[in-house]
This record gives sequence, structure tokens and C-alpha cells, in this order.
Amino acid sequence: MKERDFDLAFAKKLRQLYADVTGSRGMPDPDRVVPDDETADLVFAAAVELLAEVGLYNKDSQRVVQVTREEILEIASSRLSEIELGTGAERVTVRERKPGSTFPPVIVTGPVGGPFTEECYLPCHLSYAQEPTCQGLLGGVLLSWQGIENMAGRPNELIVTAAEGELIARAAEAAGKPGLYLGPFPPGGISPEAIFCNHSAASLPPGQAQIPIQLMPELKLSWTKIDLALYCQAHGVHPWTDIVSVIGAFCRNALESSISQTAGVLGAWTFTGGSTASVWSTDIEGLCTRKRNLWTNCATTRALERNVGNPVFLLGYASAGPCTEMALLETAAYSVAYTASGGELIWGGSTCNGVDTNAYAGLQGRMVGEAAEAACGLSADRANQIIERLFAAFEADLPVAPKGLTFDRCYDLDSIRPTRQYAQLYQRTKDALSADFGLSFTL
Amino acid sequence: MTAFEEIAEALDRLDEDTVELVREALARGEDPLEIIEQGIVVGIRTCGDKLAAYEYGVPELLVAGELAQECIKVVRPHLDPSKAPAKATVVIATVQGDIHELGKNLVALLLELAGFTIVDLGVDVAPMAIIDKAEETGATVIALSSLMVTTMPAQQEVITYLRDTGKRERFRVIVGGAPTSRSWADSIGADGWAADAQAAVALVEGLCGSGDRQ
Repeated sequence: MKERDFDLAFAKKLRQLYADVTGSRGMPDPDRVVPDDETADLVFAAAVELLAEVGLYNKDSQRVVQVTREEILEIASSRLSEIELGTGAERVTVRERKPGSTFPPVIVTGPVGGPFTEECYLPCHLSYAQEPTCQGLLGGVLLSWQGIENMAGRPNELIVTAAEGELIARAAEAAGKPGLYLGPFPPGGISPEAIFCNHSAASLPPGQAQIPIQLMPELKLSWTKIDLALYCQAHGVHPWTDIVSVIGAFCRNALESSISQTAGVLGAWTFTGGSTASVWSTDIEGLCTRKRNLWTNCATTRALERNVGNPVFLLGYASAGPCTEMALLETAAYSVAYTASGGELIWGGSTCNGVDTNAYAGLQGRMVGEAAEAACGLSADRANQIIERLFAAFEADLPVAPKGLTFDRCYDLDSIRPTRQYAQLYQRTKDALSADFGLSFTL
Repeated sequence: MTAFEEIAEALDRLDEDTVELVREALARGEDPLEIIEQGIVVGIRTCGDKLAAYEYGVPELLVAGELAQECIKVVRPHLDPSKAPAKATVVIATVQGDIHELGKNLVALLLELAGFTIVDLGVDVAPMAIIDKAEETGATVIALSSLMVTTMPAQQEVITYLRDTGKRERFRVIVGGAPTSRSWADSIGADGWAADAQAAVALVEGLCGSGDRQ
């Protein structure tokens, strides 16, 4: 089948499912970022129907992988409800959560793919790792190493991502957390060659790092994805099943995107063999911080939480940069949303949409952990009120978010401590989150 | 409602009868060029606006594009060749090492709907393959997409190759993709940068003057 024909079949079915869902109960309220049970179940049922009808498209073979409804449900029902990440003293169990759970999600923070120059890479990652709430470290991308420019798909990538892997492990050790979970590894690895080579060379215990297997939007795979899945099986590594859905391309809105995202998770499990689902949503213009992006992620989380019960990893970015109030408020908003949706793991703490160089700092990671802890036990209604007020404070500025300060200007590079200005801003924002937004901090 | 408005609205509704409306308009003696400019182009523009407003998705634009092509096929034999609009050729690719295609495809689609001839080389394309195809097709514009910081240097590489082979002045080179920026485009000596697909169309139209440069 031609890819264009698959895309049209996908869209036709998705539009029909959208009409069915909204026809039965109207359009879900976009201001309820944490959706209700009925919406979550409708999303799940629609996702199963979408996947069963259109399947997954293999771009390399130009064939459709068809899965029956029974197979989809059988695979979903056999997923693990918890997994362990990290080793030694840093080992954490990612346990099944629900909205209102009184224990927080696992907190994994870092620049999450943000680019770095060489001198900032290690100290910035250390600034995240040293935070008491940090239970895993998600690395950024080195732009160059010892004069070698990082270029995906070339030998340069093998050399530079090897350095990334070494530096991120050193950051964990320097923070006194040598067994810290290090996420998809190496952090900036794109080509399978760089991933296979540097993951193997690092000789990490299986629980300390994962291999990223990302389904392409929407519902597409390639031979490389299957190669990565086979590598995971051969090495006993739990695959990081990663699903991104794009609002404004094949999906027109958050509901369609969530249906596709959930179908993507269910479809990816058929070949990754994984149990986790890492979900994220972006707009076609590259922003993943709008309310509709959060709604998409939260609806998928709730759909999986109610119908599968597997660990869901939720991505949070801020559009603003470090040392700005806006970035801290954005971070609090997604941390509350994901915690109240029953997400099992938040991977966040990144800023400037993960695009600007050296524009990341550990205090953002601290906010993820402290806001998630504060959101434990919140009802969906209460969480939605808080999220709505937070968005009202920054939503209009998302396309023109302030860049803030680069890491070397908001942290002391010797002590790896935030500047007084940043520390004071953090405390002031935290006070405002309590007084003005109703978030009660316990950490 | 005029015949042109009917055609534009039908196209916007993705109505298969749009082609029939075009035939009827021609039979009634309407100006073929006006059928294109006031009917088909207006309808496509409305579809593009709906995409920007998140009312339509890419699939709706694909259908609109196919309908528009069918309509133009019907009109073409009636056009005076000297008046037929001819726009530039754009060679577009996602640069080497990068397999992201959604943004690139959307830019290609909108440019095509705006009347440009598009040569889409796909993803992970080597610099010389892009340059060779631009020469072969007589392209005016080379559009380069990159979605990763580690593939942005490959955009620069295309420009360097063009300079090294003495061909830089023959093409307008534009760049785009989430991690790119105007300052990045300036720093590598590109002729332009666009933040999104709609802006890319305006950029190419601006670079090609009135849009009639071949």
C-alpha cells in the first residue's frame, strides 16, 4: 500500500471515530486537562477500533501490519503493571497509580534532548542529578566533543554519543547516585549504529538504561524499529516504547491525537514487547506545552490506566527558559496534570522547548518533583482548577516565551549551586504557587 | 453566488462535484484563467486557512490538492499558453541523517497547492543528491528541513557544497525545522528561514518575486 493511501485510510477512520465520540457526549471540555472516566474509556475503545481497522504501516516494506481486536486486547492484558529502574541504592519501582493516588510518580529529570556545548554538559546534568527528588536522569545532546561536531548518522555521532554516555554516568556518580536510572541511552543517539554500539560499550545493568523505540506519527514503523526491539530482547533491556502524536498534521485536535497516541501504544507493544508507554504530544509548529498537548497526554494516560494498568511515562517541557517564573509555572502545571491523571513516571524539567543551547538547569527538575508531590491525592476537579489558573497566568505567552538565562549564568559552575537570584525566584514562585494557585507543598 | 465562488466553496467542502462545476463554468464561457485564480486558488487558500486553524488536517489538504489538480487538468486545454501562470520549481528534502518528514511534507504540499512545481526527494538525502536534482530540474529554490540539532549542520553542508562548486548563486536556499531559527539561517548563509509551512509559502513567493519566475 502506498503511504499516502494509508494516511488517507487512517484519517478517514479517525474522523469517523471523532464524530462517534463527540456525537455520543459532545466535545470533551478542553479545560478539564485531567479527563473523566467516560472520556478515557471512549478514547481507549476508539483506539482499539482504529488500530484494528488500519493497522501499523511499515514505511520500508510499504505493507500494513494488521492486528485483530482480540490480539490487541490480549497483548494489552499481558503487560506488566510495574517495573524496576536503576540499580543499588537508586533502584526505584515504577508502580501502578491512579488519579488520587497518594504516592507520587517516579521523577526523572534532565535537559531531555536539549543541546549543549562541552563545558556545560557535565555540570548541568549534575545540577539535575543532585536534586533529592531526582530518581532518574535524562540527558541532553552534546553539539560537539573535543572538536568533533555531532552529526547524526555519521561516525561523529558514535564518538560524541559515547562521550554523552560517559558524562551522564559521571554526573550520576558525582551526585552520589551511581545507580541512577539513565533513561534512553545514549541520550542523543539517533542512528541504530550509535545506539547499539554505545549502549553495549557502556555495559550498564539492564535496569539502568533503556533503548528508545519510537513509533513514527501516525502509526508508522520501519525495519530499524524492529531491529531495536530485537536488540532489547537479546540484551534483556526493557524497551522505551515512545509514541508521539502531532496535532495539526493528521490529527486535528487533542481528542483525535489522544486516540491515535493510544492506538500507537497498543500497536507498538505488538513488536517492542515492552510494557511501558512513553507518551508526548506536539503541535505541528513544534510547541508541546499548550493545554491541548497536556490534554492529549493525560487522556492517553487515563485510557491506559483504566484499561491496561501499565506504567505510563509522561513528557513535560517548558517553553520559557531557566530563571524565569514562567518556566517554573509551566513545570508545575504539567507536573500537577500528570500526577493527577495517574501517570507512573514524569520525564521533565527541560526548558526552551528543548531547543536552545545550554538553556537548562536543575532547579526545573526540583520543581517537577516538588509539584508532583504536592499534587498527590488531589481530585481531578481540584487539579483541573489549579491547572486552569496556572495556564491563565502564562498561556498567552507560550509562543513568545522568555528565554531566561543559560546554565552558566544561573548556576555557579564550581559549586553547582543556583545563583542567589535564581534561588530567590524559585522560592518566590513556590510561595505564589501555594498562596495564589492552591498548591500545598510538602517538600 | 458566482460560478467562481461555487467552485471555491465546493473545493473547500472537498466535494467531488467541484470538477463538474468547473466543466459547467467552462461550458458557460467563463474565463479559464479566472476559474483558476478566483475559483480553484481561492478554494485551496481557504483549505490552507482551515489547516492553520486546526479545522482541517493534512489528509483534507491532500484530498483538496487532488481535486484541484483534476480541475486544472480540465481547464488547461482552454488556457491561452501565454497567459498560463508558471511558477518556480522547488527541490525539497530532509537533510542527511534525519528521517523526520511531517513538516517537510506539509511545506511541500502547501507549496504545490500554491502552484509551485515540487520535487520532493524525501528524507535522509545526501547534499550532492539535492544539488544534482536541483540542477537537473532547473529549480529556483532548494528547501532543506531538519528536525534535530545533530542534523542542522547538514543544512550548512548543502550551502558549503554549492559554494565549493561555484553554484551558490544559481539557487535560493531556504531552511526550516523545529530547532532552526532565523539567526541559524543567517549564520549559514541561507537565503531565508520560515517558522511554519504557511510562512514557507510566503517566503518562497517572496524569493521568487511575483511567483512567475521559472
